[in-house]
Amino acid sequence: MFRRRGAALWLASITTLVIALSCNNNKVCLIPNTTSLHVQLSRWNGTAFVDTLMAQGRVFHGPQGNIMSTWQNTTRFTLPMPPEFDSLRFLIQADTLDIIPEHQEVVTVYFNRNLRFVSGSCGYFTEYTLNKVQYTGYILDTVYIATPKVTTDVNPTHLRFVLKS
Amino acid sequence: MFRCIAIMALLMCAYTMQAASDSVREKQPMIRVGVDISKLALPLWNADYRAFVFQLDKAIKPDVCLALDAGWGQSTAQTDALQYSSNNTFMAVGVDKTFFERLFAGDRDNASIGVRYGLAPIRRSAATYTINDPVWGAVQGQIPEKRFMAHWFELCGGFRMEIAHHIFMGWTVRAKTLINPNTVRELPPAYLVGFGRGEKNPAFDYNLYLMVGLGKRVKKIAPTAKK
Repeated sequence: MFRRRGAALWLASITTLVIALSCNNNKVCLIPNTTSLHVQLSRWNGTAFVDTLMAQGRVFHGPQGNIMSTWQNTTRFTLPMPPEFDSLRFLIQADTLDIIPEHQEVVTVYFNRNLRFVSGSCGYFTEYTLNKVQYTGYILDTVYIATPKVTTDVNPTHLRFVLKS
Repeated sequence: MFRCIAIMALLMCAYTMQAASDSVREKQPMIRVGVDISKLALPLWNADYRAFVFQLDKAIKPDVCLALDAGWGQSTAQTDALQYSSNNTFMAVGVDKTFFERLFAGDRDNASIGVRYGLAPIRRSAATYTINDPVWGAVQGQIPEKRFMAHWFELCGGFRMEIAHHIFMGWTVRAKTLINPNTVRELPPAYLVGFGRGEKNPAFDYNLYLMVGLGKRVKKIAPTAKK
């Protein structure tokens, strides 16, 4: 009996230690800790919002507004959120050939920021709550805040831009 | 401070249990005091953790033991995203119930399951975090130092046997859940001694105890051969 119990004890002890060893490597972060704003382009067809394409648009964003993202036939675009500021300003050109400044849409999104702990290896990400959106109204008819909380979740649409017909 | 209180409580428990058991030594002869050798070896494979964990137990019924776990330790987190350290002491009290019948008088090899209530005062240093954003650049900030208390419940199960006269060895695996998880939500300790990984709730932990039995042993009675 002693020998059988002893074997069970040592086998279990070694197994436990191997599991413990394998569980202790936690220094690799596999989760992105940057947050993006997801914008859906749509039009009002009289009864409902329908997703709509912007054939050749581009958006200027970033710390100095000098980062350009160009798209073709897209209904949705994303913008990285600033971890240190309380607002995000960006500029939309509906047509890349139309460079008249008055024809550009300037959008400013205001929000509150909160730090949210992810893990020891990933640290923190910034979580945002959208409060208000200001826009010049050249391209956009209305802007709706569809989902105020902006997290690392890539699925929700945060802003819905209703384009002028 | 809490470390001193924990050690004193452990020693006082051992003393009072021993004193109380003098009159009933023949029925409940032994208390056990031991150290978790797996935690002593922890820095060998993970330099970020250091822990000292002790256990004391005493049979209050033939198949039920009163158990007290106590210890202290520290942990550091040094990653690109976060740098901070924490230290804590802890104490967990509960009972263990053994599974198997004794094969002979003085037989102390047995498997057990148990429950514990644990508490730990924690001191966490100020933390520096970095958020690396490819567009907006790296942002650094600080989370201020904090002292707080964690409480948890745990379920444990394991096996222990007498490997030499009054020397015991055994392992336990433990599942633990914090009663007040909101206190560690802002920034949990990388390793909370007595609980396990601070960012996990529920957490799982293990112990490999080497224990010494104090008190006289009841004489072994050889099983009589049936005629």
